[in-house]
Amino acid sequence: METNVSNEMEKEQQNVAIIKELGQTQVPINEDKNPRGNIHCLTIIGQIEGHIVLPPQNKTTKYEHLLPQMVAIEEDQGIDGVLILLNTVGGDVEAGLAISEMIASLNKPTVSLVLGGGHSIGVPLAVAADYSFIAPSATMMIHPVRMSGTVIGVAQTYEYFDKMQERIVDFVAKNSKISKERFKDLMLDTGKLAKDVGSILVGEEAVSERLIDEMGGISQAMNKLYELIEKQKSILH
Amino acid sequence: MYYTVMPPIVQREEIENTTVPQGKMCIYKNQTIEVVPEGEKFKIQRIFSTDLKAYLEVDLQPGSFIDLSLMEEL
Repeated sequence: METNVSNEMEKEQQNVAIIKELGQTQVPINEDKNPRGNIHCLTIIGQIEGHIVLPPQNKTTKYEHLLPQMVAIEEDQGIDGVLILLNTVGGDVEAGLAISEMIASLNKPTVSLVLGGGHSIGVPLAVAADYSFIAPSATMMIHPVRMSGTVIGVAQTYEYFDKMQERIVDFVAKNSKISKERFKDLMLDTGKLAKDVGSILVGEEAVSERLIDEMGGISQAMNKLYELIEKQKSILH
Repeated sequence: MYYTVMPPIVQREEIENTTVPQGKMCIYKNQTIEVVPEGEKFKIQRIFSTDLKAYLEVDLQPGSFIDLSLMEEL
């Protein structure tokens, strides 16, 4: 009896540690099947880590874990839909786009919710879902891509930057209702930020720019996800 | 290449000036994982597996601490 209690407490502590460290909640299992559909919660937080491991004081989202995890989600019969919670400052372009492409190509309904911030590469991650929400106080910063380290001052460098930017612009335009031209205008706006080029969209602005589908919180996001699950179930049966 | 609101200079300085703890490979719950020491505990850094279920396994999520009694040397 005592062992059971201590095991449960240990399990609870482990769950708390997972939420604290990774922001990830327990995957629903078949025995606890929710009649409306089982949801897997994917939390994208902090910086999107690229090929270099970031120092331990950084909160990061690791692509080498998320990519196979999404394959597992796609394969798992017990998961009906995915809720993506975003609070990210952005990060590595390639890693961010890789995760975004995986979300966009998932066969299961996906809903994203931007809380706090969904900046930079967080924008393609947010729009990659089937339906996106933003909290009224959340912000999204859109600005040009950057590079650290030695930059060779030749025309090809600019072309490379432009190509990288184009990949982001194309993805966002394809997966949301904003036009490429408008997104580029926001990205290259010189009148909005004091020390940078770009724009900040707060809650409703992201919706009025047609980047995000709707403003809302967790209940709206969950209801939408259940609605999409229901819709998919009716198509499959 | 970065697309972040974090200034690249800050990020670069952090990477250059901070030592990332050396990871250690081990077997845990039949999966190969990399752990990093944190005090007297070991925290999962990453999973090396071709078994998809390992990536959904709650106890194997990066950031979680492992039960040392179940850890096997590789």
